[in-house]
Amino acid sequence: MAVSLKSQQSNLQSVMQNYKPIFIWLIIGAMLSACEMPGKPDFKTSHRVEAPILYNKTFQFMGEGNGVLIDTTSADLDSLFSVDGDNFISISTEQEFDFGDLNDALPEVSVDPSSFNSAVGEIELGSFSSGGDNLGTATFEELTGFNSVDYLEGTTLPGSGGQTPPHNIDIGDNADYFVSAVIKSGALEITITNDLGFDIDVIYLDLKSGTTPVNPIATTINNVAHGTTASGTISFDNFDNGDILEDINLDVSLEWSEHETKADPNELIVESAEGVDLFASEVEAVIESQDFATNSVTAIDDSEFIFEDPSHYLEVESGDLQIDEIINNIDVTIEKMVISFPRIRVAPFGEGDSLVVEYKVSESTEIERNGIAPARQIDLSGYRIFANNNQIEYNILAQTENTQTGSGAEARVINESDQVSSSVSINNLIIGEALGRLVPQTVLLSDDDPNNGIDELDLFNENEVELSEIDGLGDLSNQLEGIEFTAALLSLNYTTTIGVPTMVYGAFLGVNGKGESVYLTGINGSEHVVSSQISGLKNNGVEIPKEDLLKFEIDPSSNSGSIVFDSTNTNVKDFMNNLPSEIRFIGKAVVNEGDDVGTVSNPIEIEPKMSVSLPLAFRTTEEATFTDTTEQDLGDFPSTENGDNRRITEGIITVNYDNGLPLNVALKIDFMDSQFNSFETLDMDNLEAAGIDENGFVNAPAMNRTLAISLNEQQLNQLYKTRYLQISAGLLSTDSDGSGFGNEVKVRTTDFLRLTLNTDFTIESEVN
Amino acid sequence: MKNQAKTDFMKKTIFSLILIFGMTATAGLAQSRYFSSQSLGMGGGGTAYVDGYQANFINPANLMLDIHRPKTTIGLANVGVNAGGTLANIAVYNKYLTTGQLIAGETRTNMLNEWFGENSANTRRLGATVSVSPFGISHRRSNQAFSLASRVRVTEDMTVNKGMAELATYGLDADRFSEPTPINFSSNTVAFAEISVGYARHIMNLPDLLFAKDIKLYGGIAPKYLYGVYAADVAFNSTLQMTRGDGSSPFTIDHQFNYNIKTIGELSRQLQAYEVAYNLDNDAVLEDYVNYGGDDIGEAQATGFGVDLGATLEMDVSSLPVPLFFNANKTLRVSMSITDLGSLSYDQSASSVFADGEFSYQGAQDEDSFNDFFDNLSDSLQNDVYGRFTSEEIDAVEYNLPSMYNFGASLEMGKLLVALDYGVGFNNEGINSKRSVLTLGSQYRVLGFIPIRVGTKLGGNASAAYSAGIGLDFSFLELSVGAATVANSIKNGSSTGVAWSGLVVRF
Repeated sequence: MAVSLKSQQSNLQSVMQNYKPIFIWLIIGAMLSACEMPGKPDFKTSHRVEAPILYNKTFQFMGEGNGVLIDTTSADLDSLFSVDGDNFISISTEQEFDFGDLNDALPEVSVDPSSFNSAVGEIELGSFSSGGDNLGTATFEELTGFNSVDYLEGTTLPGSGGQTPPHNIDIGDNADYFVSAVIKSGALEITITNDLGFDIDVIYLDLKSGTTPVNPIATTINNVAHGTTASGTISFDNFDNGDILEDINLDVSLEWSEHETKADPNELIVESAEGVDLFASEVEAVIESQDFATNSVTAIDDSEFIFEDPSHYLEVESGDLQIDEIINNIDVTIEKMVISFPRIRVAPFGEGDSLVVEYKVSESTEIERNGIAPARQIDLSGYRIFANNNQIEYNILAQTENTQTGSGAEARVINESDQVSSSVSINNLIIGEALGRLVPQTVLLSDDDPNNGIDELDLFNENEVELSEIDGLGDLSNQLEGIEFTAALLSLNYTTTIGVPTMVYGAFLGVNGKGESVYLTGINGSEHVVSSQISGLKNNGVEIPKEDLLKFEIDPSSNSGSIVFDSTNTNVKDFMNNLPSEIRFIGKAVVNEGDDVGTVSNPIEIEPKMSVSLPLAFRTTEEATFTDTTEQDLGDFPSTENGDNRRITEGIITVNYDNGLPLNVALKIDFMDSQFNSFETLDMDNLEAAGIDENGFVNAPAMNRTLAISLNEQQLNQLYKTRYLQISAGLLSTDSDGSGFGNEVKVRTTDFLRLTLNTDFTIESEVN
Repeated sequence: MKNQAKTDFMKKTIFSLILIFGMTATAGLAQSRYFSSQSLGMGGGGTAYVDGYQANFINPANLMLDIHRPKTTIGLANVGVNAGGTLANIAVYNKYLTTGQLIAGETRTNMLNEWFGENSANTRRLGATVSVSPFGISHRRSNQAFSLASRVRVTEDMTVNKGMAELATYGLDADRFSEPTPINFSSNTVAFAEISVGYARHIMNLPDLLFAKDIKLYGGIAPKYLYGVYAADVAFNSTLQMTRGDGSSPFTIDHQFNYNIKTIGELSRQLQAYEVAYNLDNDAVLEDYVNYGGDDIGEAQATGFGVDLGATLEMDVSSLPVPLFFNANKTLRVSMSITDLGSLSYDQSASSVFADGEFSYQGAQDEDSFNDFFDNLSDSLQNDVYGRFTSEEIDAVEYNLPSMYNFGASLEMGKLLVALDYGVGFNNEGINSKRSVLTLGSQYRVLGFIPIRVGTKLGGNASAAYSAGIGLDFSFLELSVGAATVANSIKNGSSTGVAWSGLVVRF
């Protein structure tokens, strides 16, 4: 048994020894084959995504910031809406028109140049000597024929027994101020002092020019006591005009009675010779200062502006008054010359405010003898010209130098016809303001592009048209159809500087986002109807018929005004229901069409602001359609058609809402490809409208309504093609009376829409 | 005769057990025991046969082992990667996710139940360790041995619960999440290096015992210096509940959460900076502050000390009548070791970030705009919900080494080596597990220098695994590789591992 066991053990050992490597490899193979290896992933998942999007989110119809359907702070809308005290909303916007200035209506006036000549005129002679010494004397013996030694003081002098023989005294040599003169009128006063030692009863003076007596009868001076001075006046009445007084001398004779001498005998003295109103037409003399004056007139053109009253004026904005060179052909210097324009005045425009131009020594502007003063130019800005009857007067006053004093003291030869001369003109006159009668003017209310004709304006010439773009309305007109706004209003508020009645003739053309246009015109019988054709107003080169034009008057009585175009005087309802995104205007203004007196100022301006008011009071006679197409690339949306390994098998959006808007909304979404072809349409249930009161305002919101938007797998699988979404909302204003038509409703800012949105999507993904 | 019969019976029994273990035993691989290409190929043990400088990391006493090799060993660039866990359930994966099924309805329910179990709170785990030993040297003398070895380990350990898997597979489904459902995950990442100095000596000879002759007892110890590089702990716990609501109550998503992040260095500073910024300005964006670029990796974030120690009983059992190896010399080694005793304190800018909040979402309300809300929803969650946290500086992020108790036995019979190992972790750090692990492996040297290795493991943090290895193993040079994966991950998940011996030179 033991042998057998040992034998078996030996056999086994032998077998196992022989097959040991096989056993080992079998063990290894078995172990390795049992190893677990992960396979290639291949499965599909189905995820559900349920999530609330909105919970009780209330959107007020209009307001600022978030939580509103219309954010009035957004760029396009920030000035489009206005709200009254009841939160009633109007689309309102104010756009400025730029008419530029109407300065073409300002009168253009010209002033004729005017020359003046101012002659010195007759020359007055005064003192004939400078007064440093007497003019001449005669002794006792020369006048009495007695020996003076015999008639010393206290001696009795016998009477003359009549007029003594004349004794000549040559006063010309000592009259240093006088050489000669052509006397026209006046007299010469001779002053004599008696120092003969006795009293004289009569002194006879006979003035002679050379040897020619001035008068046929001598001039007498009576009762001239010893030691006194007396004067006698010698008239030139008998001196013919044109006679020359020169080389003057006196024949002197006396007459006295017997009496005791008062003093030792001495001389009779000629103290002076003074002109008394003594005028000459020409002199050679050393003369005192002479004054002379003249005046002149210049005329203003009256073709555009007429001064009918002394109070009428032109106020100069710019321009100048020119005084040409003043030529002085007088042999004396004009020490002072004043040219005054009493009707050209600076503020405050009183008589004392007139324009005065001076030439004077103190300013070294005197006019030298036989010399020329340079031309002067005076800026007239701010001056008013009161040119009654279109005439401007001016005065010249001159004063010559006194040749008896100063360095030029010498005898001059002056003729009364010697003169100063110059001319006056007003140039470059721009009127700042004018009061008077303005001749009627027609001016364009925009720039004139000469390429389409002078004085012709075209609505579609962008250089000429006044274009007002109303942000926001363009989008509405593109997107909204079928709503009739019932209370549209358009007004033109203006400020103006014009002071005369002005009628504006123009064309207002409203163009909506689709290019549809409507003219704003007056309705029959209104003051805005244009009754006669206005030439030069065109639409694409075609004259606009008067029926498409509109007129309105600018009231000159106030600096501002407003012209309201409503449904009583215009077709503004049609005009505004076209929802114009732009309003084009061209026009002409006829200034002072009635040829009235008035005031115009530079610049003549009319600054209009067009105010659009489109109250959100509307009705839908049929379902209005709001359509908006937005770019929406859903190319990443999973779809098995697109080779994606994910797909959305189901999608449900649940909407719970309160509708506080007076609108029933039927929503439709068209999914469109890149060629705008709709490949899927999603019609949704209506959002029920709120109820309204008798005024059209919401009083009964539709509360706690629910609708579901469901997309099946087939629809969801197509969405990847989407490049555009067209959202169409059929809007029907509240039909409160069940007529089938929408009533007029009014929207307030506080009208609202409350939404709760929940989504439920199932997404299937394939992994392999 | 009777004794002979007993001896024969014992031999058969042992042989049968070896075969049984070799053929059927399964063991989890993902235990945090050091693995070389040899030990990985033999199932992941090695307590009683890994020698040379690698003995530092599994049983320093083995420095004294003389397995017909020269006395000095130098190793370069030993690399091992090991990953696995209950989350890596290849069986369930293959069953449901490789067959083209739609994961919905009952199929989804069954898959998740098989993967995670019935309860939504159940968690599954996935861990990975990369171990690199750049350099090591050992020298054995007659009575003592010395060694010096370095090693770098990076370990990631994460868990997720069933609730999170449900969220991933159901989506936001109000039917599924009608009740509060836990949604949790955690992550632990640690990286550190160590320099180990080993010493072993021949402690005693024991008298012959039964069939054992020349019994020797070796003891060894390998203290090591630890150098921490990076550490981060994330724990996120939450519940999700969805209520559809009705006309009077809203559709609501309720999400209660709390989380805690412990980290160090640059990331810690960035998180704290974000918190400061957020407190000043609620519009602060997390990503503006937290953009960890790893610039501080390599800097010393922690230092510490650890130790590995062990003992090996070696005996000559050539008298055992092992089939196929009746005439071969047989050496039995029985070993015990305790590895990775020690801890690290990551104390450079350590912080703890935590939040405890509730996010209740009923839809857009007062956001800047309707569209903006959805565009920014994820940002809002990131910044305003999860991003609203509190951070505080802490002394350190503590990390305990994945300590283990190891017991092993190996029987060398000529060209065949069979081994049995038992191990249990002291903690669950990294891929460590308190769940016991049993490994069985064998190696046969074809032509004496081509080692063919197979093994299996049962227990640990994954399902049973098979392993194999091959290479060249001359007495003066070794180049070998090993790999492992599970046979069936249905119960405890899968794991996988690869190891390369690097260049081992002996002289």
